[in-house]
Amino acid sequence: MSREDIQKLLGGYATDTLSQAERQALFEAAVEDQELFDALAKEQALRDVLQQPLARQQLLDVLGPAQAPARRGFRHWLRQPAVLAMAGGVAVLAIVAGLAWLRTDTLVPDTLVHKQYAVVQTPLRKEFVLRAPLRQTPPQVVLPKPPILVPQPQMAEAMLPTATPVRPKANEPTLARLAQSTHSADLARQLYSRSDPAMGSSAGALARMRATVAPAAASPVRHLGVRYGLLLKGADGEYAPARLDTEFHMGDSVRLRLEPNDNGYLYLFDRDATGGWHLASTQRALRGQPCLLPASGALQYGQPGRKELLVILLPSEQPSLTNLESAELDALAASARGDILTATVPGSESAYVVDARVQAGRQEVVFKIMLAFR
Amino acid sequence: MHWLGCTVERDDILLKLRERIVAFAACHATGDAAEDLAQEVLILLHEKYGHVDRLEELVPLSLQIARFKIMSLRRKSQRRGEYTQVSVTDIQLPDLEADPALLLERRQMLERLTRAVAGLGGRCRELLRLKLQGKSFGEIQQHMGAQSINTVYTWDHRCRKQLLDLMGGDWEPEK
Repeated sequence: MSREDIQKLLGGYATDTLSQAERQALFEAAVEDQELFDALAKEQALRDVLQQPLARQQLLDVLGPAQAPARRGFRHWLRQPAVLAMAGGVAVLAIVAGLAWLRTDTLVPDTLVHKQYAVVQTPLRKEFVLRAPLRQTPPQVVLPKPPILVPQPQMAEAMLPTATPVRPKANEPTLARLAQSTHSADLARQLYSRSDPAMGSSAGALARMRATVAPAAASPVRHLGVRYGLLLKGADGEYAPARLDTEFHMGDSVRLRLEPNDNGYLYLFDRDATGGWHLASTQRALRGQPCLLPASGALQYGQPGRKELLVILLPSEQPSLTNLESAELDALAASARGDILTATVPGSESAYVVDARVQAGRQEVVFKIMLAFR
Repeated sequence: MHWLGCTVERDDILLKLRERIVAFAACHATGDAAEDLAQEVLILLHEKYGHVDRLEELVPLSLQIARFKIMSLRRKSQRRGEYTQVSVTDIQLPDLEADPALLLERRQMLERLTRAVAGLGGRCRELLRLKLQGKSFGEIQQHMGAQSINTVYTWDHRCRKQLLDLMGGDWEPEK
């Protein structure tokens, strides 16, 4: 690494982003180079601040939610050679179509025609449609219909890489990336479902994606997920489902109904008045078996406002989780946010929450629920 | 004799660190004080952290100790009235529970940092967010779809500079 390259590692010191090799390279250079050592010493002040979990969380809050994965995914997808080749093909077709259209369109003066093309991509199959040009024509001129080019599916298939499908790395959140090109709500439902059509049939969007892009990684992946809803205790003492956007009244008794798609442990934390997380309940959960949290009693609040709950579903019991500091739980929730797909069921009586990562054995579902009380 | 090899290597690292710390401290204190400060850091490394012998642990540890020593030196100078004369009745009694000055400095820096972060551009915000989430540069490369890790290093270098500019050129305000 050159001196200039090593200086670029400085930014990773305060945030503790450096790998073992990067740290070694930076420190070895720093003990030999006074200027670099001084720069590193100045970073220490920032490092001291960022080592406080609360400070990190405050900055994360300022930074806001993750950039929409779709944008990142689209950029990444756009860089692939197959996509570039396809774009070239589209451009050629557009030129050919344009020429053909101009030939049949000699009656119309060029100045009256404002050509506007749009390439439409469906998320799974890279099809394209050359849309009709928009034109400003005088009413007395009758124009022939412009051609609409719709390539045959075989043509689109031929443009896709078939010989060497992209094989995701083990720790890569591949499905989260794939989800960028489809509707996340649909995907969340599909990932949650035990009889996931993607696993067997060819009907699901996910199945087609997997079959096309990452067939090797598709079959063994199991995505931990949970379907949850709210239950409100009625005057008769029975709990009945309530919409997720229900505005409860002070004194209402509310419970969560959670149905995981695999065996695991559920933890429910409740944000207390001081802003810290308080463990409200924990319970072993069986696949497909609804369970209620809190396990006994109900959530009740004497003050109006928005109440925040944190739900964590893990494949196995983690006693250390209950000992985590509030800031650490916040950090956990923030870090998991980007890997979680959520879909609300029409009617808003329940929602699916799924870990979209392709990491067998390291699945976890961490999400927050907001309850409104007045 | 592996342990002997380690000791020699550790001494070698400490020697170099002493040289670096003296030079760095010289910017913040007078010549003798800088020497004393480096010596105090080394004594602490020797007596309290004798078990630490790896470069990647010794460097951040020495930097942290040096920073605390420098801050302590500054406060001591202020208390002695080397910078400003203060009436004895105005001197606050120390709170033995925590170091309020340190906490205050951290809080002020966090406030400045929070304001500066809000002024960063989109890519820098995303990069910083991932760094704060504990992701490595390799993971950030995958996450942001960068072609090589050098691209991420360059982005990070620029973003750090941008953040530093937004904070007035230094993480800590001028004392």
